[in-house]
Amino acid sequence: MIPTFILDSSFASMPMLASMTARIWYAVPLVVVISLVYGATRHEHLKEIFVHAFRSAVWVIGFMSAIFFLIWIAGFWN
Amino acid sequence: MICVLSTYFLGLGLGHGRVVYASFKPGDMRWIYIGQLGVGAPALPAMVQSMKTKNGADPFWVLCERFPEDYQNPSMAFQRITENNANGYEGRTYKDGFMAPPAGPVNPTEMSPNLIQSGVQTDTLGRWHFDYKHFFELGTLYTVIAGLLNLLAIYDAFCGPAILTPAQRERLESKKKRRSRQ
Repeated sequence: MIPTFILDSSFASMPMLASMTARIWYAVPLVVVISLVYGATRHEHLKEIFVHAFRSAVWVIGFMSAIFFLIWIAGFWN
Repeated sequence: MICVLSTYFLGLGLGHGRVVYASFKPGDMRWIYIGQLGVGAPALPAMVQSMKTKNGADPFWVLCERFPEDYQNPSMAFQRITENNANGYEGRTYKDGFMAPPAGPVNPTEMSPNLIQSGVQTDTLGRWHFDYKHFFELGTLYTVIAGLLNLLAIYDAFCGPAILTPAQRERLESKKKRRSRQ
């Protein structure tokens, strides 16, 4: 059974989440660039750089998602 | 280089050419410029602008003009002057310059309490944040990250790779061994 305060908060936060969707796209170029440059500092060959960049991007997005989830959970106690 | 410069210029564009500036005045310590300076030459105009405007002179490459803090309508203080709100005003103005520090006093209300009574609430930097909303912070973030990535690239060029993979470490160790045998 999900506590009602969690449901209330999640529905109430939906419009806010929608309005934030456009802003989150600004993170994409940063993630791409950081991954590529970091990959390029580790490898010399293009294929290795792209493979490493992809792995870095997954890590960065993973961390961002974890932090987002923590803040989202913390928002229920607001 | 393409990644770093495109991030830097994208950030500069998002911040309307105002997010990279060198100011080390009390109350407006732009320490973040140190990170932006990592990009190199593209961040140097900010130094030129800082030197130019140091004694209150107008910057190069003026982007717009703003009402001063003692303007007859205090709620308009530091607001951008447009054709609609100018009302024939020809007095002193503050000028926003490309990569120039915010013109005018920092926190003028702290210095003269009369301004608070008259309704002045902010300064030029405050107006930038108000006008450009989150784009000011986004632009700052983009330009700082570009600077820091360039520092990483410079480090890599001099003594990279930054962190060795096990295969690279093995290769380096075998090279060292070969040299020591010779």
